[in-house]
Amino acid sequence: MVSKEEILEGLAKAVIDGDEVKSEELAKKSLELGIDPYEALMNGCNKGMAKVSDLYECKEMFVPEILLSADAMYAAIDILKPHLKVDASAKKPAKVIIGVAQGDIHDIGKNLVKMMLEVAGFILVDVGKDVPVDTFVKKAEEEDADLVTISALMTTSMLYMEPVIKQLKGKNHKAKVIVGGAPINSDFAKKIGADGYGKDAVEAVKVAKNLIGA
Amino acid sequence: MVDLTLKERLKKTLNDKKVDKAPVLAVTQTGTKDLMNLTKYYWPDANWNPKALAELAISAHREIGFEAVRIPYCLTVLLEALGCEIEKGDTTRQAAIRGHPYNSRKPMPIGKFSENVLIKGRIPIMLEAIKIIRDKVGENVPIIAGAEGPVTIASGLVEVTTLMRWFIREKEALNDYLKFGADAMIEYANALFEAGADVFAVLDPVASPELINPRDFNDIVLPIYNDISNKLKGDSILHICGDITSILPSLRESGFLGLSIEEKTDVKKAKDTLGDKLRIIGNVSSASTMLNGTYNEVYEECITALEKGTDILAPGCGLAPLTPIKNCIAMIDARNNYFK
Repeated sequence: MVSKEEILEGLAKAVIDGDEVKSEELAKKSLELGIDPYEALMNGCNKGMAKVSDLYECKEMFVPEILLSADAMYAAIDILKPHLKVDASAKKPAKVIIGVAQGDIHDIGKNLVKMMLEVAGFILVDVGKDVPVDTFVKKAEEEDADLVTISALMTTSMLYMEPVIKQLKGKNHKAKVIVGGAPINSDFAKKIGADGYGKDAVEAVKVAKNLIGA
Repeated sequence: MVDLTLKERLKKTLNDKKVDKAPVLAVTQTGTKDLMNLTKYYWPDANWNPKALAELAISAHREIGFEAVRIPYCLTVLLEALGCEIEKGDTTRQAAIRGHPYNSRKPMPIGKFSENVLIKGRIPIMLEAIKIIRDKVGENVPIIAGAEGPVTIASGLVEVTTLMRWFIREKEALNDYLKFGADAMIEYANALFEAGADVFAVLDPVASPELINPRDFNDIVLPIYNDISNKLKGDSILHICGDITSILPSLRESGFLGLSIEEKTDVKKAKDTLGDKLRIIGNVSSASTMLNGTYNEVYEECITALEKGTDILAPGCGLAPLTPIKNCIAMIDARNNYFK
């Protein structure tokens, strides 16, 4: 008989190892054993992903490893999610619009940030890549977003960040804006009036948490 | 000492011979809106017309003062010839890869590179453009031609996140694709040399430790680079984006003559690791200062790069299309004053 602790630890390890066969198998087993799916998610998958983000931060894991970890995590989430009980009294999680700036189709960084924010408990609305300025603003309004995160790899596209910020501030929208991507640095972020800048996915999560006071 | 021609100075610099001053030029793309307005040759059309391609490239030499003519303006020429669907872009947007013919988690066999790539896509346009440039600028101005490197080729054929997974799950297929890309690139590069290019730049942003593990770089990518640098029939250099400090020890053994770096990699550190094996090219920030900064900020950054020992003063990455021309001229002024 496998203990609950072993299952949770196994899930965390499967995520760290990027082993999606194992994580799927353990997620199923956790349901069979009657383990609360929320606990399996938080103390299994998310714990593993937190370790992944540490390893990424200290440059022991790189994009290939993280993508496999994400595959393993999502494989378990797909199994656990239908069984999660919705807690109506829980505090509403912050909502984040995420996308790649206009003219830019490089979305690997955006997808990493998205995943890390999801793991950190944010609700993500992914508007994709090559996203026009108006779409960011419209979506932020429609979704009553708390945060808007914009990424760019191309020097041409980084220039489409400022108009998003200007329009949101012009409308007095509450959403705070975080920018990131290869050509961006904190000076540039400050100059265009962004509320935050993340040099990588891990830092983006910290900045997001600070901005919404979580 | 007899004055060196621009070509002699660049060649001597790359081959670690003493020169009077560091060349100032770009090994990455040079098409900017200012230059398009001056020449009246605009993207995207300039990518498809040898005369326009040549004239816009020459303008970076004549109007800015870069000491080389550099083509092309995108990282799609070879990938298009290899079957990738591309998007043309517009006046301020580079042509880019849209479709990936081999995108599949389970690798499709790629086989050995054998087809005649030189007649495909825009490759004949590039070869023709080099001849036009040579006619117009004469023998003394060096021509630099760039193309996507093997990891970037594989990521174009396969799609980048799929390729990333292959670094762990499908090492054998990964190696086949890298070899295929390398062989295609070698054939193209040697044709560029034959057409008159003086220097070939391997541009391999996807090989950056911003994406892949430096250990994988050393074990998987470095042997491919060794093969490339052995087979190229002319002076060749390598450009990788991002902070590449962690792969400098591997790059020391790559066999290229020069390494083009961004501002995220420190010139001093790079020089210390590379020793006399590769010359450093860079590393003025194409985004922070050249695009978004002032003439003075670019000037200061150039002086710092020269003080740290950069061998060739150059933008750290492709020029942003909206880079003001005066910020490019700041590079020429800084180099001239530094060596006065």
